[in-house]
Amino acid sequence: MSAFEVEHLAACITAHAWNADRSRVALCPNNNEIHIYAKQGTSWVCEHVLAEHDQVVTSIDWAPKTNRILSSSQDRNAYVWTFKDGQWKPVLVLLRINRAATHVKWSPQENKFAVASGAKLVCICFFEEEHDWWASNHIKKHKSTVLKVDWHPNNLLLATASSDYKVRVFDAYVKKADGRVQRPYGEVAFGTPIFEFDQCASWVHALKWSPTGNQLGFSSHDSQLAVADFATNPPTVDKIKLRTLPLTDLLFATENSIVGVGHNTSPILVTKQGSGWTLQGDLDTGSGSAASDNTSARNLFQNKVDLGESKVDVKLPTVHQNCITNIVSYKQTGGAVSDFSTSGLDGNIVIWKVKPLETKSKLKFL
Amino acid sequence: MSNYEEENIDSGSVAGKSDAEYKQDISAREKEVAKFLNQGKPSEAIPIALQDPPIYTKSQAIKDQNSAVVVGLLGQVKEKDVDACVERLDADQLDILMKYIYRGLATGDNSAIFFKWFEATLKKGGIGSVVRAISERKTV
Repeated sequence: MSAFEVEHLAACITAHAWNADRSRVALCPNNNEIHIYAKQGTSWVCEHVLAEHDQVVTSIDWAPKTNRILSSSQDRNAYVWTFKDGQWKPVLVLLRINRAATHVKWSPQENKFAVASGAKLVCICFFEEEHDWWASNHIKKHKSTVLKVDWHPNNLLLATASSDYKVRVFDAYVKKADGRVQRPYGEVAFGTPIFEFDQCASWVHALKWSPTGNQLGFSSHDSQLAVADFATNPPTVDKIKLRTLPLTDLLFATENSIVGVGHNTSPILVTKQGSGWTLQGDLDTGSGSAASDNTSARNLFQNKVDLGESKVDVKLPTVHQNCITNIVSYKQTGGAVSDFSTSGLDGNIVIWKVKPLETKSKLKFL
Repeated sequence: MSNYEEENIDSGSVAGKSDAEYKQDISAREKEVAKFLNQGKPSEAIPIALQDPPIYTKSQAIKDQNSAVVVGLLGQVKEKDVDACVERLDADQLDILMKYIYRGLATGDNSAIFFKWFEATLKKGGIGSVVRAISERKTV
């Protein structure tokens, strides 16, 4: 069994998301459209093109239970798409922001969602029955663009990653959406950070809660990955310096294994042994036959000199041929991610299978 | 209104020492480094020189003062000793060293030795150490 499946669906992919049964994928081919591909036999066929945004779509999230697609774009808007009579119908969300929307995420119960933006704030959006629209509350307190958001499994806490070098955790309780629930940190005022992490020395690109919500992983542009453990209060933070280029997205495959993707063309595995996190290495060990990065770059210039060729096809030994920007869980077995998918600037969507991947890379998920 | 206000971002981190304390520390380190240089053992002074760089101060003069000590020292290590020096450093020291290598290369003098330092540090610290040297706001 092969360790991965590759599907080249566009020249460049900025975001992708799967539906509940993984029969369809929504992706943005680096423009204002969202393409929905369906698997027919062995090939992927473009089923719908959703063109309501005016500028590049930055993020897509597909709610598994309610089958609604959420999208955000640089045009400062977000839409909620519902499937009715064979068509996807958009509903505009009242974000009230004056900069690009950078990232969207449904809450686990799908009764509200968060939109990160360049306007130095996060919108917590919920449905107002009486007006029949999606309204939003603003969480300010950020000093720069918010790049990523992620919901705690308890549907209440929201973590944000910002280019002001900080990670913050907020209580995103909305009375209209949540009703009466027990809140983990009591009656915290809306928009007040409960925790603030300043371990990063540069923009924080990515963050994810672990499956239990007891740990929060985040990575920044200074090639560091940090994991905060909420077993203690204040949480303890374990920080590791990476040897490679920065990570732009993370996935907790299990409670003790993180797969990170980013400016490198191979996903990396970081695992927790005992109390500390350690870097295990590249999951994509490549075909082995191709030349190393240094020599291929050298060949490029050599060819220019010797042959006058300006364009030489340089094929990297890894599956992805460019930065990886997204990683999503594809299949779960027994509480652990058994397959995950990545997409990147090379326009490939790759579905990785953990078991054969472990054998091939000689690394162990914990 | 600019959407990216750097001053605001930096204001949060006021950890570290006052400018006067930094000055004192740097002069003390300078003397120690000079002692090793007089004995002809510049490579042994490297870990001392890389201690506690003035990353929190806003004063460029203090950064320049410390940089003069470190960059001066790096320039005096013999090329054949560079690899052994780098081998003895831990991950944090490597990151600091990389930042000073960039400062050394920025002067434009004696570049050959700094390229040698760069090569050895890159080999041990990986491309990540270069990323940190370039992207971190806490400059040396």
